[in-house]
Amino acid sequence: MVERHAGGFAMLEDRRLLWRLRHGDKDALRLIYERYEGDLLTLAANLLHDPAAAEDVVQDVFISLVRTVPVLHLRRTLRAYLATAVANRAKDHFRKRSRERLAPMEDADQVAADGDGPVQIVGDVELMNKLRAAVAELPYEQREVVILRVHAGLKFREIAAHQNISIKTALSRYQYGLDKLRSRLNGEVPK
Amino acid sequence: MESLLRKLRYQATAARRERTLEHIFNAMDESQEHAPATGRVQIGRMTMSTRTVRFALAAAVILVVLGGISFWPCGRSGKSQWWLAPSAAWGQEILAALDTDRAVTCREQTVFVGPDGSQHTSSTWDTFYVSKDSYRRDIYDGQVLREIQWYVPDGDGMIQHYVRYDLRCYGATRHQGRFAVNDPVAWMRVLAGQLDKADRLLGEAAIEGHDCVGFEIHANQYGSYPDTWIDHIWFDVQTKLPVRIEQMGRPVTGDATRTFTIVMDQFVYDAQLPADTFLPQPPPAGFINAHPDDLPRR
Repeated sequence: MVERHAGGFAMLEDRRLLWRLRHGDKDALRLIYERYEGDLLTLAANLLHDPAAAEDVVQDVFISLVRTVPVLHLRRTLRAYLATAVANRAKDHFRKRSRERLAPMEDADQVAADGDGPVQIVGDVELMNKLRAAVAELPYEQREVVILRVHAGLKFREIAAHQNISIKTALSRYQYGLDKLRSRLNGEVPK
Repeated sequence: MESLLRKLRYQATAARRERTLEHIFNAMDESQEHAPATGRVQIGRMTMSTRTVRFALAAAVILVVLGGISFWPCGRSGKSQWWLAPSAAWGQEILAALDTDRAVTCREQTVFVGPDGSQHTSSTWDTFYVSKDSYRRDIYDGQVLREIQWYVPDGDGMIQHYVRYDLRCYGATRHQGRFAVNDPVAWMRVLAGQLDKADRLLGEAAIEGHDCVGFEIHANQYGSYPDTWIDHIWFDVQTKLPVRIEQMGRPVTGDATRTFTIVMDQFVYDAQLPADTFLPQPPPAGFINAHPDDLPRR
């Protein structure tokens, strides 16, 4: 119930920010950007495994937002809308790319989640690199389900609609994806 | 596993974030430069489609397919082909032209597309009247006027008045926000503003007696939509104003085998409309004040 209230408040706040944005309020745009840019970049980078391309995707999504906000009819949370927009553009980028490649990070830095001390970060780096490589090896549709669920917090219903598949198929792809990751990490991660 | 995956996070540098924000602010400034001027009336009317026009469009498509068309950047020589120049200049010119036009007429209808490509045009079609802050939508079923809706500003929202002639009822409903999502002129603006991202030049074709040039834009260029959603916009090569807009590949609810296309065309600009066009009219005698969903089933 608390989550529902929090979600409802976030949606109201988003709608208020979008209303301000429609009226040319740059502070509202900055607030929206600061609120979602980090999560969207993480989402795009995990989908593409190309941080530079991920930054371009996120920038394009925000530019598209400011251009279309006069006719934008938000039917769900702004977070879900932006996450889906990133997923769509990432998929297009992925398709255009001749083959997957792991690009060196230029401006972007991969960071460990908060709460990790220096020793733990060093200890985790190897595991995280393995995990990142394992995620990159997942078939794109499976990877997309896993990343949209874990990093965008989308419901399986929303992911199924995004991929134009049934909820059952989305759930299967998620489970298969996690199983493959566990297998790739060779038991280093508890179930 | 999920908690470990959540640690796979990326963060841009502060410098990169500032650069990105600057680009986004610039895009916002450009969008606002071409926003509709306040106080200027833009009126749109959508009129009914005709068989003749459908034949003309089919003929145009056949000509394009059989005759071949000149794609970017190899256009026919010998006449001004402004669309072959970078879109940054003429795209803004189109937006500016939309600012100066006070009235527009066009039609809107829905075409259902089957898995084999077969098409079926819905018998229901709309006539839209669009002004700066008020709208009217006349809905026809074939030749019969089924309903009129008037959208009148009310604070930060709008009140929709309606009269259902087929159900002999009337009423009013308040909506949040503007009508813009259904505003054909707003759609023109969005598409014209995205021409620099057009995925394909469709070439030239004769539509409704106009020499036109068309562009294809994937809907994911302007919103969070599947890449199967594709829009075509055709401009008159003389006036540079839109002649036809097609929103294709939209899913049919409950029927994954079919899609539908929304077609807006037969645009006529500077239409003269009666002053009371946007004033809700009283219902005919005998109509009851009720929402259609609340009416007793026949």
